[in-house]
Amino acid sequence: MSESTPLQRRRFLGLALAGTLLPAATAACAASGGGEEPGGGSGPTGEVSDQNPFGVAEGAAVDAVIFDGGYGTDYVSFVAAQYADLHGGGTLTVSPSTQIAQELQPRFVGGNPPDLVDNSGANAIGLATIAAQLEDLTPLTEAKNTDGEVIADTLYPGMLDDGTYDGRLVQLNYVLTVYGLWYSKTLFDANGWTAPATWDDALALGAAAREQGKYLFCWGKEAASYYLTLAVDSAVKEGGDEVRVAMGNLEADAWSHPAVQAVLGKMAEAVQAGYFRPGGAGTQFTAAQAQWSQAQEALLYPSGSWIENEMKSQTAPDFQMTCAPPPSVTAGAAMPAAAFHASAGEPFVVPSRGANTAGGMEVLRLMLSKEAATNFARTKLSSTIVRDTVPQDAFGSTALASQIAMLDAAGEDTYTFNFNDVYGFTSQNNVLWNGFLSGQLDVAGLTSGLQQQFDQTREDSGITKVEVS
Amino acid sequence: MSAVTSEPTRSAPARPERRGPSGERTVAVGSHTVLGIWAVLVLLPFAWTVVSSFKTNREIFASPFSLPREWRFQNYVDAWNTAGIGSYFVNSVVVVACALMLTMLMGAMSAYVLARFDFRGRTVLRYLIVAGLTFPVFLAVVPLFFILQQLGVLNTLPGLILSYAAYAYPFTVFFLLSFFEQLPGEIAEAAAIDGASEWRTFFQVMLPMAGPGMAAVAILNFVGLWNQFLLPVVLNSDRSNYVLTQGLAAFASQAGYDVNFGALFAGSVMTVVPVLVVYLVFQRRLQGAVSAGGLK
Amino acid sequence: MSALPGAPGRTAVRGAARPPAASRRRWTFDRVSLVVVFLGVPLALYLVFVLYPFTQAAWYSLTSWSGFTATQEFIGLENYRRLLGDGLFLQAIGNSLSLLVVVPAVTLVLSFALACLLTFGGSSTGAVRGLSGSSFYRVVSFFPYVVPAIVVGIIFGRVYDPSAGLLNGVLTGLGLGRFQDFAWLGEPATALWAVIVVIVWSFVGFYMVLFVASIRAIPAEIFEAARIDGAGRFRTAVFIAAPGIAGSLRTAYVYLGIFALDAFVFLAAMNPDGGPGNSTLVITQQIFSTAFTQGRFGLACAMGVVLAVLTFVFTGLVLGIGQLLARRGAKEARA
Repeated sequence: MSESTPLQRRRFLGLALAGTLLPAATAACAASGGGEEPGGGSGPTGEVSDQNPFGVAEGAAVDAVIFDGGYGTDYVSFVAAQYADLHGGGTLTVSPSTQIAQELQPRFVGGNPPDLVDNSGANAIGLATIAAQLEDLTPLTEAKNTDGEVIADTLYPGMLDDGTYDGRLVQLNYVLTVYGLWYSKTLFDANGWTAPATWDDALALGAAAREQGKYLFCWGKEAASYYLTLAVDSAVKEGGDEVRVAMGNLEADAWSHPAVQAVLGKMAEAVQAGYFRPGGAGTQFTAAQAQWSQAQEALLYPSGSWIENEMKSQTAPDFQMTCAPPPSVTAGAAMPAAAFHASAGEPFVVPSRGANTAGGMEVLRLMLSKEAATNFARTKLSSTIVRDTVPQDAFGSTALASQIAMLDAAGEDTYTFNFNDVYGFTSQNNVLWNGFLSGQLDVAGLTSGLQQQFDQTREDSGITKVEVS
Repeated sequence: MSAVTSEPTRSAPARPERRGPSGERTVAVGSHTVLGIWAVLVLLPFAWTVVSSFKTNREIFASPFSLPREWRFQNYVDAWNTAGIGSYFVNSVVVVACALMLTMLMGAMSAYVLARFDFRGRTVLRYLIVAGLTFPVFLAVVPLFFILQQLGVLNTLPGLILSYAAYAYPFTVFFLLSFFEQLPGEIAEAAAIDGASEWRTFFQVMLPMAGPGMAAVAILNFVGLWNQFLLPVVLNSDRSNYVLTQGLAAFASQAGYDVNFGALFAGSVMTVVPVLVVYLVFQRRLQGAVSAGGLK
Repeated sequence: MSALPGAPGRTAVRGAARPPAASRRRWTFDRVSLVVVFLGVPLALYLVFVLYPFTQAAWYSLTSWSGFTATQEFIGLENYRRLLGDGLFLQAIGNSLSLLVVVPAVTLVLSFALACLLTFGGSSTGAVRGLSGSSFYRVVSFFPYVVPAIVVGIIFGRVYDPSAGLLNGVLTGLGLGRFQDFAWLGEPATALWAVIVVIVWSFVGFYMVLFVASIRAIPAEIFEAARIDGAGRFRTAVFIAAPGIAGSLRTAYVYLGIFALDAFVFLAAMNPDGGPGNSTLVITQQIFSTAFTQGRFGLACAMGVVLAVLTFVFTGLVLGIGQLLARRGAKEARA
């Protein structure tokens, strides 16, 4: 149930049947398709207090459309009872979806979007497309959670960076994501291996792997771009913030930066040496991941921290999944060895024209409480952006424990980038990286393909740019 | 390949053999070999899918041929629970059957008039209808969404049925036109002389005569409607109303995240088996219809 | 005359050559009411559900609409100009045209050949040398046609899996070691062909059944005459059967062509991102990602208009050429 049938709009029936063949008239018709309340959702109608910071009206229902992927949707439903308690029995309806853009497009056009959306997955809506129609979530971060603390003070550093667009915080990424190289500590300990700190270490490890008939890396066709993430992560670590800024702003020579080229060169060496398991360009990505986590044919896999949950039914017993920071090129990298790419995933947005925007924000506030965030960490074995919700034993998860350890070690030395999501590059990145990793494309070809994508987008006046600093 | 009893071929008088019987036999063996290879190519992927649907992930990744060590029906339970394939299947059958009847009736009515009545604007109307064949559906879905909303049938099966029928309509008219043109006019004239109205002539004389052609077009339409994906995704987002293609896509995406390939295979089998049963039960009639459509 | 209800080439678009008998009669209330209702009701639905949305989309192609706002900005032909310089889109058009040429051709040749084997590839003594057990083959071949395309895509995605797939399993089992881990959908040289095979595979059976019916509809005396003239089976197939079912072939070509220009479901299941070096990227995929992941609905609509024009031209060409051939054939027959 995600759409109430607007009976009052039947009066448009005559219009639709009669005068609709004239494009001009019809454009007006689609534009006015349902927007009877211009300027957006209902303002606060309930009393504003610490327990109701956004003024949710008594009994007001919340309509949430949540991406139904690796994390499911139950973690959002988790706060339904609490919401009802606090707001006079108001209901929280969670509609799972895997086709976010297709399902919600007409609702955005028609002016009746849901109150809360988890805009995630392969069919997510590009943020730039709808940013102007989203609520600024700054009041949310300034509000107090149910434990009485200001929400902004309860989060890991840098977690709100990706959500700012045109100076407004339009999306809140809920799940903390640690990017790095993942491996089996059991396997590494048994062989006396350690996670590579530099790319030369990685190549040496590749040689050791081949001796045992294993590979250093494997990949899947829909996730070839994970290696782009790894490459950029390494390059930023090596070359410092200027690399990240150049990438984020799609600069003309971003991919020719020496640090980037050095990383790509090392990766090409690994490809040439046969350290990548062949066949990745035709393998479904989870099947490829199982080659690493189940069959253990590959030693390392670059990914975000969703990997543990994603592969939990497909991980060999006693795997002790562990994360390491991305390797740098040289020991003299611009950033310390502990630095790594941390950001947040599962972007939640509150459309301005939703019927109950206050309710959408309120659900997010409840989700950011210690209780809900701890529930998420326990059931999904991933941390939310809320600090200190993972106990010492990390619920028995070595992966989660290693993430927390990395966060502690890095302190403020984490970084992030999101140009792929902002400009919708992922498809073409996959095409290019499948070619590179299977040896069809060399460093020069890869560089020019990636740079061309940057240049076209940068010079296209039809595309709104996000300034990165 | 097993030899089913020979088809009754067309009434051809037995003729003396030109070639020796051994030459004839060589030809037959050759034909059987080629067709046999084709049959294997068709059946092998399905057989493999069925076997794989009982394997664990580990077995699936280990070898494409090994039989499952134990036949895992759990995959079917998983697929059934995650996917709700049963109700999606029922929705699909309801929507496709209703839309098919509606579009065949409307298509036949329009094709009949366009084929057998002469009036001004007829050619324009024909072009207008053919134009509908050429545009990709997904650019139309957003305006269509608002139309359904205004009609109050968004997220309902009737709304989906109307949309399916409307999108199959140009195709139906396009293929039925020449069929109605080729029907002999004398019968209609005889009916008129007997005092039958135009309406009765259509429903009691012309439509039954067009039966075989209708059947063939209906079968072509069926697969198009059965596979329709984007219309339901946009126009039918209520999960309890999901049709099979939607359900499967959602399931494939979830199975991808859960990495449960056994269940993915099992889900595929569960969608194929009911169609297979229906097909085997009706295949004689279905092929008869296709054949009759060709025989004229 | 052959053929399935179609054979639309002759008459579907143009008016019928000879006005049918009924049309010469007077316009009574009975007749007028029939025409009005039979055309009016379906056309109303068609206008509201199909034509109106398409007109709307054509209008969007002249705007910079993102697809998610309530208003659109008119930019004239800017989107079309942009498409001309869009290498990826041009590549997608190229791939779609390849599918348009290859899929119908291979499907029709294969299904026609199989239909010929079934109808006169046997050793029976009749004029039509039907094959024993032909119903078994027809049942089996027809089957892929009733399986949802998305399931076909999912199954073949697994069949082509480099390390655990059926295809490489068979090939390496036959001693062809170089296909170990070979990525059929991941190599530029094979990806498009791998996709074509799947599409052809799912359609051949249906058209085979259709052609069997059409061939059986050819008067037996014609085959008889050919036999007496000493024509072998191959010559019979090419010179008797093929022209005899020309109408069916043409209809099938149009239908397969329109389908090949779409092909979205199969590719969404097998190579969602465009395949190696974008070698399997088709127009519909490009439209889809432009509209939904890049949020450039106006541009996507322009692509859609281009696709519509392509389809329209293709249909017109096939039907027009068919008409031409039919006319020449008729002339020759009279001569």
